Formats: sequence, structure tokens, C-alpha cells
Amino acid sequence: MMFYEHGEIWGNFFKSLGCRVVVSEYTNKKILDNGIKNCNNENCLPVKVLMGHVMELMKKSDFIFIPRYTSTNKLEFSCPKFCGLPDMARINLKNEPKIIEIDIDFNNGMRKTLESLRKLSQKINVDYNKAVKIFLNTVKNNLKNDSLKTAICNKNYIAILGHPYLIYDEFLNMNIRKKLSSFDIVTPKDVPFAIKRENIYPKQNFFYAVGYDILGSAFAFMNEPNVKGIIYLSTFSCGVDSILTEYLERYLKKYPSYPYLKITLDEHTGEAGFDTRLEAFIDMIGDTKEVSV
Amino acid sequence: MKVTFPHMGNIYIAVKVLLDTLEIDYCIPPVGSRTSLEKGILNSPEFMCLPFKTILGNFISGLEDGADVILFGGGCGQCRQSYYGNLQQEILKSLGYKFTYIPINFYNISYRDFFEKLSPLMKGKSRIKIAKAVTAGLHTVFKVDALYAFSNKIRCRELVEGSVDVVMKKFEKDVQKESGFINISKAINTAKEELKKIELKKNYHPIKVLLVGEIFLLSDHFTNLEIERKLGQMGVEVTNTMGVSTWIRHHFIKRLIPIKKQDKSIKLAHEYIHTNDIGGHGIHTVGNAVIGSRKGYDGIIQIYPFTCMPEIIAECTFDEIREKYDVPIMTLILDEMTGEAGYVTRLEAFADMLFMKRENIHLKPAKA
Repeated sequence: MMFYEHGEIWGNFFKSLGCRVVVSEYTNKKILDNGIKNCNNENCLPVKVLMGHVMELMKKSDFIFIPRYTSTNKLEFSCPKFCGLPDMARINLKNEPKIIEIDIDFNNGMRKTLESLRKLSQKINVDYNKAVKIFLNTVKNNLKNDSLKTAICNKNYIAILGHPYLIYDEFLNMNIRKKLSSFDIVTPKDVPFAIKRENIYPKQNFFYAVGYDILGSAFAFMNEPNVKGIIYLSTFSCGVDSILTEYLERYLKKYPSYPYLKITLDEHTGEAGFDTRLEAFIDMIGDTKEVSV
Repeated sequence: MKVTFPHMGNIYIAVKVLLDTLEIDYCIPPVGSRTSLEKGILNSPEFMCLPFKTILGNFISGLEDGADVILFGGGCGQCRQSYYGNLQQEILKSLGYKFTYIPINFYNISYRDFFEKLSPLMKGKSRIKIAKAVTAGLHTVFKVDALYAFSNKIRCRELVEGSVDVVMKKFEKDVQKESGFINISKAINTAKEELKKIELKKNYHPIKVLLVGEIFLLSDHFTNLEIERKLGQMGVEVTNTMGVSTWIRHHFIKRLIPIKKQDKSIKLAHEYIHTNDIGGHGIHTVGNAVIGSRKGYDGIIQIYPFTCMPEIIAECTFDEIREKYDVPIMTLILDEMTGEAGYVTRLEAFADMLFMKRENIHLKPAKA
């Protein structure tokens, strides 16, 4: 679920350990259907998709790596589903021993991570000390993915907000980038780590890490005159989003003319309704250029 | 200064004792009120979970009745409950209420922190008085929970149907009128005495059902549509794994006592979930289900509010537990719809099924 943020980092980690890394295909209808079949029905869309990917990788690999994110930074937490992902996958696949995991719980220090690294190194037969060393080098400090701020020039931008697994996955977001091709797109990735933390409103002592990302960048984008509107992609029954969107919407009530669109996605893949709403949104922004659908 | 606080099952009795002893003015939102819930629903985000909506409704009712201080306990972690406080403040402020918000954070709590947070309420009160009040409150929590557990044990065995409910209803009515530690303790004791007097069926072996799941719903009789009473009347002995006392034991006493001992339920849950925390009480749900299956309960019922994240993870593990221990587990998901017919039907069907399983009755498959 963090593939679009940290996929590369973990890939490098395992490559340095001397493993061959296989990544599943981009999400497609088959993966989604497979995931829905093999997953508890109450789960949200991204978990179902993940199960689909795991099913696909079963045939291709010896081990499947699913990280367990509890907290990636001091007093920043992740959605509970992330903490249970390896377990859910293991149980859905009838106690599959192929699944390996690494705990990330930096709020409580490195203890759990080291413990899980020990188990992992035994399972895939590598030296524990080597694994720790490589982990510290390749993973530890890169998880904060501090991207460079994209220079916002004299163009029209639309900000797409939401969880990374939605806004970067072309199948799940129904190729929204292509549909908005008359605009340039900015996402939370384009805002540096510190600015996101600074811009968060209301100030929180502790929060979801993804909450900092989304809300922080949302308020950063609103200060940019070239960012014409915000589209929020959310999944049905997402617990984290139920808090985030409420904050955002309450804040936006003070600026009733600011274009904002929230789209809730689920496993239905009919695109017509989605397109209509996008078109209406673009008309609302007042751009005369037609959307290529 | 008038304090209000949210309901969570029977916690209001203990808080009442606490505030009475401290001589602080308070107003309790109406117990089990549909109107209060409606107000909460109206002002909550759509996909928010049911406890949030209930609590918000309580706050609005309390503020409307003239309270100006809100007392609320929160946490810090993955569960949404940790973030209730801030969002509810935002919502209430936008509705135009003026109030002081006192959140008690149960994460990394210390004595000093606790007293500092409560200092606006504690002005001019001696430490001894505060200590006395807190002990009285805690004592009441455990006593009330024990009373409810006892009533569950008796209800399925009563000879005259409904006699337990008469006592409990009277107790709930009395307790709302009474004030002060001594009077409330008296009410609890009388209720217990009366329960003991109830005539029981002899040689009756009820089906035993264990309730696991989300703590707010399990302890709150209004939001869980009185599952304990309904099952009890069907002749099922109900054991509730989560109550207010459990919550206080987990978040309050354990944090303050320096001895760290790992919970048995967490230990047993490790077979399925390889971590100590999946947010909320998800891990306890799994662990308690395992304990229940090992102890030979006839069935397990899990309850959680719609979109509750930790409990969904816990639910995933139930397939394994079902297979391993051959114990039926039913999951009930509740939201603000309070239509009871469908709910009762499912409980009845589950109870019938458990009975048939125990008596080894097999239905003949219908002829094709």
C-alpha cells in the first residue's frame, strides 16, 4: 500500500541484501477481482487490491514482503490496517509462510524493527548484522521522503489529494491524470516534508502521518494562486479520510468560491459517472479547454 | 461552572460519584436518548464511526442543558478515537457553543499531568478529597460492572421471565436520581440483593456466548441495542469481555502502575497477529476470542461499529479461529440505524443454531 511512496526504497534494501526483486504488475481488473474474492468483505478497496497483488506474486516469488507500518515518525501514526496487513495477508492465504515483514514503529524507537529484522534475516538466510546495516543505510532516513518543492510557474494546476495508493495508481483513479491533461497536476509528493508539517491546520500534537501529508499540502496549495482547485480522492468507508475531509471541508467553508471536488471510489469500475463529475469540475474552474476523455 | 461528559455504558454512575464527592456541578446528557444521537449524526462526518456520533450528540445535549466544561478521555495511536477530541471541538465551536474542553490523554499519563489537566476543576480542593473522590469513582466502576455481569448470569436462568429486567430498570432509574457515593453504593447493593432473591430454574444449562469487539459498543447498552438483555431472554448466558472497568484497567491503572505484565489476550492473539497493537482493542478481540474458544464457550459474537478499522483486521482472523476450535463466530456491525427486527432475528437464529449444535440436532436437507 505504500508502494508508490516507499517501493523504491524497499526494492533497494532487498537488492543490497542480494535478493532478486519482483514487483507485481500494475493494478488491473484481474488483480482487483482476485483481491475481492480473497478478502474479508468489510475491508476497504486498497486492502482488497493489495490481496490481489499478493495472489499474483504467489506464483512468481519465493517470499512476499509486506512492511508493517505502525508509525513512521515520532507521534505520527498510520492507519490500523497498515499494522495488520501482513497478518491479514497471511490469514487470507491460509497461513502462507511466504510472507515476510518488517515492523516500522519509530514512535517507540527501533526495538521492534530490529526484532523483525532478526526474524526476516533468519527466514531469507542473510546475516542479521548485514541486514541491520543495510536497513539503516537504505531505509531508515529515506522514509521521510523529502521531495524537492516543484516550482509552480505560470501555468494552471490542479491539486490531487488522497492516499498515495489512490492518487498514483492509474487503474484505481481511472487515469485521472490523462483526463485532466489540460492542467498540470500537483500532489502531496511535490511539497517538502517540513512545509507539510508547518501548514497543518488545526495544530495537532499527534496525528496520522498521511494526515500531515494531505492536510498540510492542501493548505500549502490553497496559498498558491496558480493551483486552481483541489480534487480529493477517497475510498468508500475510509476511516482516516472521514477525519481529514471533515477538517478540509470545514476550513473550505470559509472560502465558498474555492473549487473543491471529493470523489469516493470503490470497487466499481464504471467510469461514466466519474468523468461527468470531472467535467463539471473543470467547467466550474472556468477553463474553456475540453477534457480529453 | 457546570461539567458535562459523554456516556459510555454505565460510566456515568462512576463519574457521578466522582463529581459528587468533589462537589462539582454537572449535568448528565439524557441516558439512551434517540434525540441526542440524532443531533450527533447531523453534525458528524458521514463515514465517522458510531461512537463519535453518539459522543458528539451527548456533548450537544449537555451544552444545551447549560454545561460549559466538557470532560473527555482520549488516547494516542492508530484508532480514530485518539482524534475525536480535536474534531469535536471544531464542530462544536462552529455550532456556536462556548465551552472549556478538558481532554484527558491516557497515553503516557502521569499523576502530575492528570492533576494539571483537571486543575480548573480542582481549584480549592484538597488532595485528600481528590484522592478520596477518585477511589470512590473507581470503586463504583468495578461494582457496577460486577452487578451487570451478575445480572447476565441470572437472566438466562430466571423462572419468571422479565424479573431481572424489572430489578435492573428500577436500579437504572434510582441511580439517576440518587447522588453521593453512599447513596449510589446503597442502590447497587439493594439491586444485588434483589437479584439474589429471584427464583431460578433448576438444572438448567444455558448456552454460553462470549461477546467480543469494540469497547464502546460492548459497554453501551443503548448503542448495542441491549444485546445482553436480548440474548439473556433467549436463555443464553452472556459474558461480556469489555466493560468500562476493563477500559479503566487497561488505560488508567496499568499505565500508572510501574509493573508491566503482558496481557493474556495479547499473548494468545500473537498466533494470528504478530504485533502488539493494531489500534483500538483489535488485538484484545482476537485474544479474547481464542480464550473463549479454549474455555468452551458455545459461541462468540463480535460487535463493532461500521467502518471500525481495528475490528475489521480482527474479523479477518476469525476464519482461522473458527476452523481450529470449531466454534461459531458471528459478526454484527452496527450503525446509527436502530431498527431492531433484523438484529433480533439474527440473534435468535444464532442462539437456535448454537442450541442445535450442542444437542447434536441436524436438520435434514430439503428434498430436491
